[in-house]
Formats: sequence, structure tokens, C-alpha cells
Amino acid sequence: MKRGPDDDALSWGDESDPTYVAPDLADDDPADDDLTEVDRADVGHDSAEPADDATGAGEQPIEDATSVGVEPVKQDAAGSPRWASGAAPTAEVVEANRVAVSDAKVRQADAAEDAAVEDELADAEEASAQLSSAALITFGVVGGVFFLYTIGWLVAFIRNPLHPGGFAEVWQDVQGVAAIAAPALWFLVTLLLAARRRVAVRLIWLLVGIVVVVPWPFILGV
Amino acid sequence: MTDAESTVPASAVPEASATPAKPEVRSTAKRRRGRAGWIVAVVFAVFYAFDIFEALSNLVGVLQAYSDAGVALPTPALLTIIGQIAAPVVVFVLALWGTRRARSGSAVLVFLVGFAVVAVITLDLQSVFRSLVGF
Repeated sequence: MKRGPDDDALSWGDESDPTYVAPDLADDDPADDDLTEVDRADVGHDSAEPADDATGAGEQPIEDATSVGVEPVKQDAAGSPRWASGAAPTAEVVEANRVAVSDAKVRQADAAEDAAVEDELADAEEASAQLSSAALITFGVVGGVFFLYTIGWLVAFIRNPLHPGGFAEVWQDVQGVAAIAAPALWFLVTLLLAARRRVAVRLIWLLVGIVVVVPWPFILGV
Repeated sequence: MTDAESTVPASAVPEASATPAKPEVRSTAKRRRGRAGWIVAVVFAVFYAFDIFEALSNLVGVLQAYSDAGVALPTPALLTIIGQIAAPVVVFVLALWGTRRARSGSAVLVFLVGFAVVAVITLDLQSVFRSLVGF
């Protein structure tokens, strides 16, 4: 099968090709630009010489020798000025770009973390907003159990009076007072520190407290 | 952070308002125990050590009384006293681990509850000991 010119990735078109771009405008190689400028200067000195000999077959002929003395403004196909080779990014520009990119990445990561925190907070607020009357009654019942525990520890403390004589007895009394305060402390601190957790989590910690702070001295009657 | 702030695109957030958000994020994810947190831990460690000293003095006194009477201390009763010694250590380690990323105020509350729980366990074991030995 014969391949047509349109099948080639690179084709050599001429002015009849609608995609044809004049070589002077499409050439991006700075080395060729330098060579072209030198050649043009040579042409400027000898304006009578045909331009095709100096610039090659692919170059546009230079019409007027007076235009050679003025630095030509190079433009690309879009009409904007082309980058000169001296405008290549310097080390400062590269470093500034690197810092800007890293800052942007950090800012993006922070935004993602903020979004995650917001979602978590929204979930917690939704959970706390849905504190149904059933959950409220459950917390009340558990609080009542802790209150009964407090009374139990108070009775046990009164049953076993100590007469402080030394550090051990004093510390025994301190432990007795701490045990009286233990149910209330567990209840309040659980609701305080787990305020943003789900109701089930708070309830589990309260049930653990009900098991831990049972007043065994009151139950055993000793 | 309010809902209005959360709806602003990240690119539109000015630098001045984006910077204070960093400590807030770190406060929930990567916070470590600071100097105040360690001071709280050390102060409560002293109180927990008093509990251990109390239990050790009980152990020495009970062993001395039983040896003077020439009677062997029952093993369950001995285990209750050993439990009184171990309880402050276990509870303190749990509280220390549980407050590794907590604020100092929260750590104070957790150590306080732990101290009360140690007192509860100690008095529980003492009551069990009295019910075991009969006095």
C-alpha cells in the first residue's frame, strides 16, 4: 500500500499547504537565529546579492537592505514576542518557582486536612445534635448509678473511721475521700473529654466506669 | 473554623488567615506531650508513689504480724496486697499512655480520675483482704 504525504508525522509542506508556517517565524533554534542574523548582516553589506544565496532555500528573502540595520522584532505565530535565549530561567527564578510550588503543595495539604477536620467536626456535631431523649435518659440513669456508688463509698468511709497517727493513716483517709469522689469524677470527666465523640463511645466509657468504681467495701459489708 | 471560612477556596484564602490554621490541625493529629504535660505527669507520679508506699507498708506490717503470730499468710490475701502495690503502677502507665497527645488540662483530669480509681481498687482489695482473713 502506498503511503501518502499526509501519513507522515513530519512532512515538508510548501506555501500551498494550509498548515505551512514561514520558517523565519517557526524557527525556535537560537543557533539558527544567530546564524541567520549574521547572514543578514552580510546581506546588508551587499544588497545587490540575491538573498536566496545567503539565507538558504527555506528562508524568506530580505526585500530591503535598510531594514537590516534595525533589530527585527521576532514574533511567533500568535503575534506575541518570542523569548530570547538570554531569558532562560536563572537559578533565582528556579528557586522561587520551587518555593512557590512547595508552598502551594503545603497549602493544598492544609486545606485537605482542614476539610477532614471539618468533616469530623460536622459528624460530631451531627451526633451531638441527634442526642435523642433516649440517650438523655440513659445518661441520666447511668448518672444515678454513679450517684448511688458515691453514697456507697461514703457509707463505707464512715463505717471504717481511722485515727490519723502517721502518714499511712493520713494517706488512707486521702484514699477514702478519693474513692468517694471517684464515681462523680469518672462520670463528669467522661462526658467532658468525650463530648465530641459519639454517644455510643461515651456510653461504653460510662459502663466501664460502672464496673470499675463499684463500692465493694459497701457491698461486702466490711 | 466557621462554615463561611470552609466554603472559601484554598487559593482564595489569604496567607494571614491560612497560617493560624496550621497549629489547629497539628493540635488534633501530631501533638506531643509538652513541658507542662510532663510536669503534670511527674506531680501525679508522686501521688501514685504514695499509694505504692502505702501498699508496701501494709505488706510489711501484715507479714510482720503474721510472722510474729507464727501463722502463714493465705495466698489469696497476699495477692490482694500485691494487687494494691501493682494497681498504682498499672493505672499510672495507662494514664500516661492515654494522655500522650492530650492537652495539659485534659491530662490533669485523666490523672485525677486515675488517682481516684487507684483509691477505689486499693479499698476494694483491702475489703477483700479483710473478708478473707476475717478481721
